[in-house]
Amino acid sequence: MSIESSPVAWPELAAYVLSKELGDGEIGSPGGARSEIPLAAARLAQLTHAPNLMIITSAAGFVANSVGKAPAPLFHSTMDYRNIYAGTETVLNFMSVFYTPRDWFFAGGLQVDSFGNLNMTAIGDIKAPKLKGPGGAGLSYASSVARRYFIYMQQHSKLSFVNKLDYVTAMGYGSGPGDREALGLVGGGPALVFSPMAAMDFCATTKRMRLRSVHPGHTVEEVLDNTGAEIIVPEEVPTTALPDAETLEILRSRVDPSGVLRNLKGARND
Amino acid sequence: MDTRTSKISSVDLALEGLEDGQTLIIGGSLFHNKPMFLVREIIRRKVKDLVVVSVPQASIDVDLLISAGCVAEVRVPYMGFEYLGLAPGFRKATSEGKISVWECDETHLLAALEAAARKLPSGIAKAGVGTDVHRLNPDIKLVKDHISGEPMTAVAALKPDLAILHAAAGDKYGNLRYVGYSFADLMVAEATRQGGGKIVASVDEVVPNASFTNDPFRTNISCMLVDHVIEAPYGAYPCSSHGSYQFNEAAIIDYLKAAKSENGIADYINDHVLSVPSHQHYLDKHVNLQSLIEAKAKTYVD
Repeated sequence: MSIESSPVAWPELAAYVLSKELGDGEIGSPGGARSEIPLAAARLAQLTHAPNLMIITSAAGFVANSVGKAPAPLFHSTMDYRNIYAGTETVLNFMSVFYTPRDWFFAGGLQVDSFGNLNMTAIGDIKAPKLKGPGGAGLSYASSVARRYFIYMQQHSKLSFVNKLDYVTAMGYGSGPGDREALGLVGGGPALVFSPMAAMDFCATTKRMRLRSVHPGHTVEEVLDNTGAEIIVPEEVPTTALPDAETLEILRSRVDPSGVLRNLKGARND
Repeated sequence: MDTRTSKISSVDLALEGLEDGQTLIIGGSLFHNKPMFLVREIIRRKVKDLVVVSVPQASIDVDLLISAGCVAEVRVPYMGFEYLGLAPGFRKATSEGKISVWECDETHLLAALEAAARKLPSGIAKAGVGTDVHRLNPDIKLVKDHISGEPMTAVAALKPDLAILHAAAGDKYGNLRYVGYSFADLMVAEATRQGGGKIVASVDEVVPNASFTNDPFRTNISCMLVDHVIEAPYGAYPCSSHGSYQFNEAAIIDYLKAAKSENGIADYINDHVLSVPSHQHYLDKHVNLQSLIEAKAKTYVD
């Protein structure tokens, strides 16, 4: 069954796959232009395997945990007052937002390369770019200090997965092993890249992006045809596992009862 | 003589000294606590070539200033409309080479503002190491930390000429209180004050000074950091006054639609800014009671 015809929309699959990456007791920040996905991932983790996980809304200081609280629907904007009141226990002052170390955060980008470096700045000549991105936000800072981070790309194409970025906004593994250490970047670098077609991790020795699983309805060939970056393809590439019935029930009844993820633009490739 | 000076001001007095080419810093973030009434008043004065700063995020506030032709340079770490998309005026003006962008990370702007607040020539950040930002922004340099030798970036202090803020409540002396989050507004005010600039705040409501003395722990920004207070109910509309009323999503989408064409944006600016001589006129023309009832910041969902 393909992801488009299955009852699970890809933003829901993204939230499920990403939730499994988050560990109990961790502190992290959902972020990026489609922050509904990482926010849902973090709340799903709290309600399944990580009850002591704390969420800090990234550019503000709302520290939240959903465990034992009434279900609260997702809202699109992370700083919507109704999102903030969904389990927020502490409001950090503005500087603490930057002092508090994160075990993980989520990032998007216009382009990503084989070593997880990200471009949020622009595509084309900086003086008159074809596409001006929103800017680096806090990505460069967070990617230098967070224990690890997850990249989610809204499109999987040769324009977004490239060998050379137009501009480096946030450094992943640079040009390979040892680059982060040489520059004193204490964080661990990117751990996972999630796209509408596939999930990719990074090879521990070469630091190069590696195909981890392909979503239902897509093939390895299709992923490679749409990837401009040189990535590692193992002999066996499994299909991305869908959530079991119980997890899907928690996602839909407690994390996203109003169906924000199911109805995101492009959720069903329509 | 034991009478304190009131800082309740007319817009004309508050914006006196505003000139082409100045550095304007705007408080709030994304769709929240944006002093939109003051943004419209600045556009109505047809000022040009502003360097516009906002941290961490800007949306319709800076985009409207760009669309109206008031801006030469943007210093904003994230310039966009979050789940509603990229910033149309910003994209258009950058692609045509009409404005320049001071590329940065949030921590660069905070370091630059903190340096101004502490009267230091520059600040330091880890962000930018391993990136292209120092090649794109002449105010950011790759340096070695003086103590450890570790690779870092240094950023020049940033001293705004004018800061505009929006708070839920203020008194006539300039004390300000927020209901929801105050974002970077305190840092914005400190950097502007110590850098020699002027701070203007719009407030939804002017309240008695006793409202602050009764509970000084709830005061967010001291009167020492504020030069002018203007009472402007719903002065952040269509953005939120965080915790008091929500941003109006439909009204923001109206702007995004208008910004798709030259005529559309010209009509929008005329309709929302140039043809409305006062805040009262703006409220009469563009804000309906039902939308304000719906905008009441709810902290719960039934």
